[in-house]
Amino acid sequence: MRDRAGELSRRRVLQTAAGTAAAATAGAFATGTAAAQDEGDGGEGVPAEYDGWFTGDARGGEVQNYDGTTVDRTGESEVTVTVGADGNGGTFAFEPPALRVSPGTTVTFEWVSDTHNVVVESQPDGAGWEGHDPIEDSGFTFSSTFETEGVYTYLCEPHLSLGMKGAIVVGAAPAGSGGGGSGGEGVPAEYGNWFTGDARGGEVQNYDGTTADQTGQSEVTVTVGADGNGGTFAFEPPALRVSPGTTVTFEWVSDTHNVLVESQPDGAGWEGHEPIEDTGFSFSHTFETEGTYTYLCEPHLSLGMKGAIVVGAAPAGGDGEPAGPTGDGGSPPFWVTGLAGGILVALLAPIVVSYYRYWDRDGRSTGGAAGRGAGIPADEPVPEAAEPEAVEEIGHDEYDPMGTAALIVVYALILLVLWVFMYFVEFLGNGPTVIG
Amino acid sequence: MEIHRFEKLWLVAALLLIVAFIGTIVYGALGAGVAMVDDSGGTVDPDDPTASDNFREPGVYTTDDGDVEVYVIARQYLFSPGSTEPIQVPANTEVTFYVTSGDVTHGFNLAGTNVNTMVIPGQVAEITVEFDETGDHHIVCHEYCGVGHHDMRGTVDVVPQSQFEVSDE
Repeated sequence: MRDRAGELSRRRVLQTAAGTAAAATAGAFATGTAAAQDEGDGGEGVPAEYDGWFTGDARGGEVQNYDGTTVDRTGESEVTVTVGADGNGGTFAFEPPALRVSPGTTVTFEWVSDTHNVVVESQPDGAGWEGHDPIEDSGFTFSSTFETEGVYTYLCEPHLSLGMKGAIVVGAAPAGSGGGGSGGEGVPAEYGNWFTGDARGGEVQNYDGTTADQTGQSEVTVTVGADGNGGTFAFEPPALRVSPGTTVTFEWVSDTHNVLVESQPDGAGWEGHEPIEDTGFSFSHTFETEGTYTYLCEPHLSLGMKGAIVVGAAPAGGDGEPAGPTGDGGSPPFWVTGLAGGILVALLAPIVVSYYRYWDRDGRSTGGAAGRGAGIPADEPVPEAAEPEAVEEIGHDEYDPMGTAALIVVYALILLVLWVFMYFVEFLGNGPTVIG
Repeated sequence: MEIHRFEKLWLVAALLLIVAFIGTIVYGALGAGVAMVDDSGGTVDPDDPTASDNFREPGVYTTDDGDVEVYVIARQYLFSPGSTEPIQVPANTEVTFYVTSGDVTHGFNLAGTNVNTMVIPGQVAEITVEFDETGDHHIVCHEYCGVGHHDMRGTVDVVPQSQFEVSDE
């Protein structure tokens, strides 16, 4: 969103170059990956579907150390999960957050920082995993053997809001599913200037340069009219990556929005939803054709209510995301410049005015005719004005400053009211109070 | 030095106000019985508070004379007990909270009331409260204790004496 034209084109060149290189690498490895996935998987397999468990939509915060991949440790009899590893803004992560093991594997949970527990959120029917409810500190370990196939999700209660959540998939992966980054060349997340103010409509302020990766899930939800862009004028997530065949449901959470398709890959037939709908409405579309789809909300286009969906796996070796911060972010908005200028002028004004006055007085006293009384020759001193006569003289005690006295009385009354209110009403009246 | 009679008036009024302020504090302490949190709770080993004689396993206890004692350990980012399960205490009974921290400095405040103390590792904050009304009070941590500080909260559930059951003995 802070793209400057030059930077954008430079990045696109880099992305294209990286994409090409990555495609070549991915192609070379594609055969090997596919073979590894097929190995030992005759049956139906267990897909790594977490139903949004790693997002902020589930209980607790978003799991920031989950990058969309499930660590495959199938075929090993003993696997370790680190509890309290670095991540989620501190030592608040399960490492790996998503893990795939074979049935019968013993998973050991190892505490490497303090104040964590393992509470089971969900598990397959018939499984009896209990986790470890008591809060333990660094050095503690416990092991569980997972027999029942399926997806187990768990969390750390003290740090749930920070996103300390994990999942274990027991069972082989389904044939043909790539747990992210499947074979092929991949689709880079390139939106051109769609999210900037250079394209139709306003700048998409709720787009932070990242594409939400929801590949591997069969159903994904996009919120229409979420908070953002100065009101409830955002698609959430604004940029989304899904696998081909994913059904994306658009859910209205505020009023007066529609979904108009701006661009889509050749051969794709997405129609969006042109009629304007209100809260509670939803529609779904299954995206089959790989490529980048852009869409917008017509009523709020000028506010930046735009979105994009990338269908297909990310290119190996990067999602085409901007690498690192995008430079200095360009010039600040107009109002910042205006405000800063105003403050500067206000600060300088006294200096300028006093200089002017000084110069002016100077001019007067050094004989400028303008400052002199009319009719006085230039070489004669200007006579001083006569002091006015006192009308009536009064002594020190005869003068009564009634106005000042009234002001002080008013101040004292305000003080009195504040005192009574603060101590007797706010403090003593706010029971219960500490009595010992 | 000559002082105007008006000035004399408001000098006296200002002095009276200061005397009244001090009088209020004295009244609060002696008349209304407002106490300050002091170091009477003693100290504990911050790494293992329950190992010390003056701190018990976190929980709610009753004493021989019918009062209630609540031992709470604050950790990043929960009150134990308090966060995962509410602290249940009876109304119209003297309840003494013993609060300490297992990691960093926390706060312990029943939102909207004067029940308010800092929770310092190694130091037991001892505060005695009598709840006149039943209902929930929210505990908030009001000392920044880390990235999850905003989510560190708990509940004190004040129930009628007849419904109060001691969970720990």
